[in-house]
Order: sequence, then C-alpha cells, then structure tokens
Amino acid sequence: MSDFAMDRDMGAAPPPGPRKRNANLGTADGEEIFMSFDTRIVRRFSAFFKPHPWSLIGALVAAIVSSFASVLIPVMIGQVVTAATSGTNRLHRVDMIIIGLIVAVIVFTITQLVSQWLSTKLAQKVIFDVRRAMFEHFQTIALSFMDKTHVGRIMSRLQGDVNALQDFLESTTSTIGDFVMLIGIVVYMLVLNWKLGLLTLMVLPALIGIRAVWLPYSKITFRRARDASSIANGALAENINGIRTVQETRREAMNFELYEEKARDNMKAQVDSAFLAGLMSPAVSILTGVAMAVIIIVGGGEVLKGELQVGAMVAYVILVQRFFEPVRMLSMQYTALQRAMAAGYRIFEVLDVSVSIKNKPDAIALTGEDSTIEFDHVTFGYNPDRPVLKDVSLKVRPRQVVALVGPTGSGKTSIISLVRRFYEVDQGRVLVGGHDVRDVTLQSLGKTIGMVLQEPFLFTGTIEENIRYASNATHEEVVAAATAVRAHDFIMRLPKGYGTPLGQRGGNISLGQRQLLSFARALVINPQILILDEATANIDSFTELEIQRALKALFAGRTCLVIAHRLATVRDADEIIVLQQGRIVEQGPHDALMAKAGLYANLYASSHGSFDDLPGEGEDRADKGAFALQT
Amino acid sequence: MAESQAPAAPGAPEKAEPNHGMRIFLIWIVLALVADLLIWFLWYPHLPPGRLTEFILYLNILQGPVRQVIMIVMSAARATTCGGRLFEILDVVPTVADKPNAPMLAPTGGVLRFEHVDFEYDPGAPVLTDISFEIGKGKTLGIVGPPGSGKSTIANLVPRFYDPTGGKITIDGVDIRDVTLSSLREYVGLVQQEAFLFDSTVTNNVAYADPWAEDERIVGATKTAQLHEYIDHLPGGYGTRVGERGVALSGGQRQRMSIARGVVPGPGIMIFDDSTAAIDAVTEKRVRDSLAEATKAKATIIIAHRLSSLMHADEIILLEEGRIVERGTHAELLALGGEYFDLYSLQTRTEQGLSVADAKIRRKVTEAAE
Repeated sequence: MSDFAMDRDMGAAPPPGPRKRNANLGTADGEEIFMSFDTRIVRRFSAFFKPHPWSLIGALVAAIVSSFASVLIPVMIGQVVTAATSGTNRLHRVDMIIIGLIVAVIVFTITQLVSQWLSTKLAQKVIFDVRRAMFEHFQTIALSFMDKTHVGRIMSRLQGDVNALQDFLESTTSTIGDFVMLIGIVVYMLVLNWKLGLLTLMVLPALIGIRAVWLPYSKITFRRARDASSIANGALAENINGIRTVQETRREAMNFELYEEKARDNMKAQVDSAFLAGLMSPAVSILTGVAMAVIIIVGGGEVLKGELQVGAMVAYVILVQRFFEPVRMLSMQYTALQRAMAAGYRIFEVLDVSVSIKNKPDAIALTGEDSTIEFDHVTFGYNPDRPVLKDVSLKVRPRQVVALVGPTGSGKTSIISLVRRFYEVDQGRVLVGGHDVRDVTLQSLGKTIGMVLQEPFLFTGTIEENIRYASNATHEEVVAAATAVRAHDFIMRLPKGYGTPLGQRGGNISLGQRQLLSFARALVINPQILILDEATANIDSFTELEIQRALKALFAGRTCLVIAHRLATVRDADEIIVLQQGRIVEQGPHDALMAKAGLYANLYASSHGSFDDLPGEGEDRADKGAFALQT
Repeated sequence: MAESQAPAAPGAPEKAEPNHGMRIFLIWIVLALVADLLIWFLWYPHLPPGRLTEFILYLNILQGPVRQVIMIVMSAARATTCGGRLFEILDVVPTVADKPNAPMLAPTGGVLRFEHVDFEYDPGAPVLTDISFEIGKGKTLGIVGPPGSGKSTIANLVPRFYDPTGGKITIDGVDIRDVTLSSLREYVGLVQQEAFLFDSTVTNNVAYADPWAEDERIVGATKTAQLHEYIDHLPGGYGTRVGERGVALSGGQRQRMSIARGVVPGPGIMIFDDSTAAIDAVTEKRVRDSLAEATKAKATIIIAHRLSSLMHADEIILLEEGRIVERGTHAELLALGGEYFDLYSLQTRTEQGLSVADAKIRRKVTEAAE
C-alpha cells in the first residue's frame, strides 16, 4: 500500500539541484550519470566519515534495533491473538504480552527517531566537509583549470553532485535498517514453520523479478516525462523573458500554438509515466493476495493439525504485507548509490586537480617600495604550442602610466595576467619590484597590485561592502575613495546611500556607476601598482566624463599599466606600447609615435573610444566657440 | 528544482521523508490497535477468536486509507497555496487592451503626434510631463537626454506597452487607444537596445515578426543592418542557432540583429531606442546610411545619447527629467548655447588640443578608409 508515485523520482537522471537549461553550461552532457560501485571512491569517502565515528555507529545500531522492533510487533500481535483464543489464564498472559507490545512500540519509535536524526546529522556533517573542501580548492586552483571548464560544469559539481551525495547518505542507514528487517522477517517465517515460510517466501523473488522488469521501462518513461516538462517550462520562461519582443512583433498567437504543442506532449508524457507508475500497485497487491491466500489455506491446515498457533498465522499475514516496502527502498537506494558513485567520482576529480601556482617554500613578501614592472624576454601561451606573447621585453618605471594598445588578440590581456601571476610564463621572467614574481608570495603580490577589470564584478551586499571588499577600510576611507572617483554624489542620491543593497552582479545601478564603484574599490586598497583593463562598453557621455576624471584620480602617484581604449587615456600616458600578434612593434610617448605615422597613428586615427566620427566633410559645424580642429 | 519538474506526486519531493513520516504514523496505528485490543479484551471476554483475528486484520488494512488521507490533507494545503498564486495571475486584468469593437488602424499620411502627453509608472512619480511633437513620413525625430530622462518611456508608449496618464497619442488624428493593438503594433516598429534572442536559428530570429518572410527580405534586412557578412561567415550560416544555447553574439552584433528584425516587417513608423550604442562608430555610420535608404518613406524616431547618431534629424528634442527643455535642428540647438551645446562640446571635447599634425594624419587615414 505504499505510494508508488514516489518511484517516479527514480527516473531522475541528472542529479537533483538547480539546473540551467543551457546546453553549453548546466547539464552534464556526455558525463556519466550512473556509475558502478567503485571501492576506490568508497575508500576516499570513508576519510570524510572518519571524524564522526559515533554518529555512524549510533545511526546504524538504532536502525537495526528499530528493524527488529518492527518485526517484533506483528509477531507479538500474533501472540496476543493466540493467547486470547486459548487457555484459561488468557487474560493474564495477554496482559503481559500487551505490555511487551507497548514496549516494542516505544522502542521502535525512539530508535526510529534516533536513527533518522543521527543519520541526517552525519550526512550533513560529511556534506559540509565536502562542500568546504571543494570551495577551498576552487579558490586556489590555477586559472588555467577554470579556463578549460565551463562555469556550468563547475556549478554542477558544487551543487548537483554534492546534493546527489547528500540524498544517498541520508537514506542509507534507513535502507540498511530495511534490509535487516527483511532478513528478520525471512528468518522468523522460516524458523517458525518452515513449510509455510517457504511457501510464503516464494512471493519475494516474484516481487523482485517484477520490479527488475519494470525498472528499465519506467526509467525511460520517467526521463521522457521530465524532459517534456523541462521543454514546456523552458518555452514558457523564454516567452515571459522576451515578452516585450513577443508583444511588439505580435507573436502572441503563434507562440501560444507552439507552446500548446509542447504542453500537450508534456501531458502525454506525464500520463504515460503515471500509468507506468501505477502498474506496480496492482501487481504487488495480487502477489500479496496470493501469498495471504496461501498462508490461510496452508496455515489454516497447520493450525487445525496443531502444528501452528493461530496467532502465528496472523503474524504471517501481517508480515507478508511488509515485504514490498524494503524491496522497493532497496532498489531505489541502489539507483541512488549509482548516482552517488558518479557524483563522488566527479567531486574527487575536482579535489585532485593540483594547485600549480603556489608560493615557493622560501617566497619573500613584496614590500611595494619599488614598483617597477619588468618583462624579460617573455614568451607565453595559454596553450604552450600557440604562444600569445613572443619574446616580449618591457619596463614600467615607478609612477609611470603605461598604456597598452593593439588590435584584439595582440596579447594585451596576457601581459596583465602575467604580472599578477594568474599564469606562468613559458620562457623568460616577469619581475615586480625587481623580484621574479615566482619568488614572492601570492598574497603580497595581490596587496601590491590592484586590478580593475573590464566587467566590474559586484556582489550582493551594500555599496559600502562592495567598495570595502577584502580590505579593512573604515567607513571614512570608503567615503574618501568614493569621493575621489566622484561616485559619492550618485551614492548619496540613492535611497540608502552607502547602505544601499546591490542586486546580483550589481544590477540595480547603471554600468557607468558600477565602473566607478570598481574604481573606488581599487582605490581603497591603495596599491602601489594599478592594472586597468578599460571597459569598451559604450557608456552615455554624461557618465563618461565622470569616469575620465575618476581615472585621473586613480592614476595619481601610482605605477599604472593600462589596456587603453579611450583616446584620452592613451594620449595622456607617459609611454605607449603597441602590440601586434604578440610582439611589441612600437613604443614611446604619443607625439613621438604620431610623428612616426605608423601603426599607432593609424589606430589613433580610426579608433573612436568614447566619441565618434566628427562632423566635418561639409556638414554644419559648430559656430559657438572655437574648436581647435583646423585644417 | 529538478524535483518540482518531476510528476508531482503527493509528498514526492522529499524522497525519504514521507516514508519516515508514515512509519511514525504506523506506530500510532499500532498503538491504536493495541488500545483497541485492550478494550475489546476487557469488555468482550467472550469474543470468538475468529472475530479478533478479523478485527486485527481489518485494522491492518485500515493503515492504507489513513495514510492516503494524511497525504491528501498535506497536498490539499499545498494545492490551496499554489492554486491561490495561480489564480492571482489569471485574475490580473490587462490594463492595456483593445476597446470593444475597435477598428484596425488605417493610416493615411502616417503622421505620429504626441499631444501634451504625461506619464507615470507609479502615481506621484511623473516620468514624462507635457510631451508634444509631431513627425510625418520621411521625417526623423531625434530624442536625447541623460539616463533616466524618459527617452525609452516615449518609445514604449507608441506601441502602447503602456497608456499615457495624460494627453494623447495619435496617428493621422486617430487616438492609438481606439484601434486594435495588433494593427497598431504592425504599423509601429520598435527596435530595442538589446535584442532578445530566442533559442532558434538566425533566420527565425530575424524573421520573428514575420515568420513567413521570403529569404530575400530577410537577407535584405541583415544587409541593411550590416550583419549579413558576419552571418554568412558562420559555419552554419543563417541556420546557426543563437540565443541561450547557441552562438554568443557580441553586444554590437545583437543590436544589429535587433535592427534587422525591426526592418523585416516594414512598419510605417520606426523607433530606434538607443539601438546603436554598442556598435563602433564606423559600422554605425554604415548602418545609418543603409537605414536611411530603408526608412525613406517612414516616420523615424531615433533615441540616442551619441549625438552623431541623430544630428541629421529634422527635429531634435532634449529631454531632462521628463520634460522637453530644448528642441530644434542641430544647428538651432547649438546656436542656443544651452544643454545640447554642452553635450556636443563634451562629446567632441577630447579633440581639443589636437595638434595640426594629428588632425592632418587623422584626416588622411579616415579618407583612406572610405
């Protein structure tokens, strides 16, 4: 009489947990969902269990005891019946048995609760440790691993796989209990009256057989139902997300038709799946009924012959109905085990990735007194066969502002990544403050170099927290930084000022404002060296001017290496380095390079940074004010 | 989340929980059983054995239905909550809808007029105040202003995504609230800043408004948007999937998709809401030129913050906090020496101090490029 609908969850192919519908990201395409039992994985996991021996033992013991109790109860009920229907002292004997029954029930309740509580606690502790280990490890793994792996895959590991593990661990002890219960029932039945026991027990292999046949079909059907549901929901979500476009292009009717088709498919798939799920119930009922008939017929005979107690027969009848539950739980748990194996395999795959960039044993801490940056014949490639930088040598003197320019793919981003030691060079050396970056501690390197990247990553939290981030800045320091980059005004105009919470990725303020905040963040750290990768996204002119002024504040008194897109930034730099295909082709201040009329002059003339092609060429020109564009 | 997509069975989401819960319930059943036994025993000492057995077995059977009742109670509670939310959505009355018996829009001259339009999203927070302008076939209106000044709101009012709270909007004298939404939206093409790309091929995305458009029209649209070459070079060509699961397009490419999509159906009024912001200026000029050809006979509204995008307009209005503060042609506005002038000088300011030599080189290179 169990709820067979629960079986439908068995069709769950991907591990449970938030799933992205993007084939490029979320689903574990091509990855093993189920894996056979692998002792190596089990052994590695036991390491996580070791710190909690008592929870494990306690949970197991409690589960086993509760199983015994649960078998005992029907047996005692049987005893009551027997006692009630025979003998003259029946009342007295019945009283004793009933007390025993009540005790059994209480023991059952308590041990059930204890086992459940302990096993959940244990599972949670283990999962906690696994999550922590993964998170920690991800922080330190070299960027090269992150580059090769989709964000979605990583998320899948952290959430989905760990969840699969959790599910398995939480239900394992109760499954063991179920298994023990099954054995207990079998033993009792055989011991008491082996003839009847054997006959009754024939039902068991039949049950197992039916389930084994049903399982593969059901998995397919359930998976189809799941997919159909995903597709229908996805279509609905897409329509809602793009509702403006849908309404503008008058696609409501057509999209509705398309959706209806998918919804219909979904309905059909769900109905099929419900049918299949429901198929098991009558099958089991029939088998159980047959078993009960056998008990009554054969058992009845035995009772009349005096070989069996009436109560025992009653116990048999009650027990035979308890067969199916453990069988079902065990097969469900087996599926969960397979999923957990696959999840474990992937989790350990991550934990085993070696941290390639780490501090040398005798690494020194950078003081930041000397903020020279130097590249000494550096060759580098994300893929060693395809160098992105070829024999690059450059020097940035303290408090100089050096701009890197060049077409896309010329190696500008690689240079700044190397300075910050996000990657290791293939040949040559990168020196900061006169030291090879491999000789200094990563922490000191991070403190000396402040980075402002193109896409400012803002976290959920208040504006103040985002500006402060990892530094220990006081409120005054945060305000000072914000004022210096001219963000203070717009912050104060917000309803809660510095305490305004930012949405995910800083969604509730404009792009330009987010940029200013990232500048403030860099300023608060007060690094000696600043690396800036200018954003190319078009920001409205009104904010653009603010950003340009903010940049001036940011650069003051620091050694700066800038990937520049704005002509103003480039022109004002102390030195401009022009890269092309991984080599430095031109170098020097603006005027010198313009005089050369080479690549730089070309780039300068045709690029448009924050403004665009000028009026000229015969159009109306400004009359007011004299613009220095004379020809 | 994956669980919620599974066929919802009562109590299914937590796999192990209901089982334990039910086991606990089993215990109570058993206790009840025991209690009943006691009662039966003490009060009916002459109960025939068969009856007792019968009774026990019946009680055993009772477990099933009792469990089901509990589950139904639990899921009824959930269904009520969820159902409530569903009905909340279904009960929402669309505020912008066709008037009963509304006729289709039958444009004669294609003249769009805003007459003293006011608008606010939330009462008490006006977003637009007293906006009036008029544009006709073949004319262009430029709208410029700082972020938050209401430019996009104007764009959203024309296809009636919202209704103005004051004043009215007319096409050839007919209030747009008096015609069917579908005919209105067929006539008004809105090109948004960010094209929402659907999970489908390039062709389907571009032809979204008119799925049965002939290939020539689609290619014509992408050529106008200066996107045809890029698509042609994709390995899948026009059949390449874009959108969530597909090829990632850059900001500028997405904007050009948006433009291509807007051009395909051939509306009479076209509104470009900052739709070239992410496109580099050289490409933008080409887009503008080819669009000028394509929109020769249409009334066009260009909303931008880059002045070069709309300097050529027949009339330009400068919005600030929902009001028109300056209007006129580019030359007239510059002559005013006000906000527009400041904006213009801001956008060309970096050219100040440009040396003669620089300018000469710049000119030479720009000419060579064209």
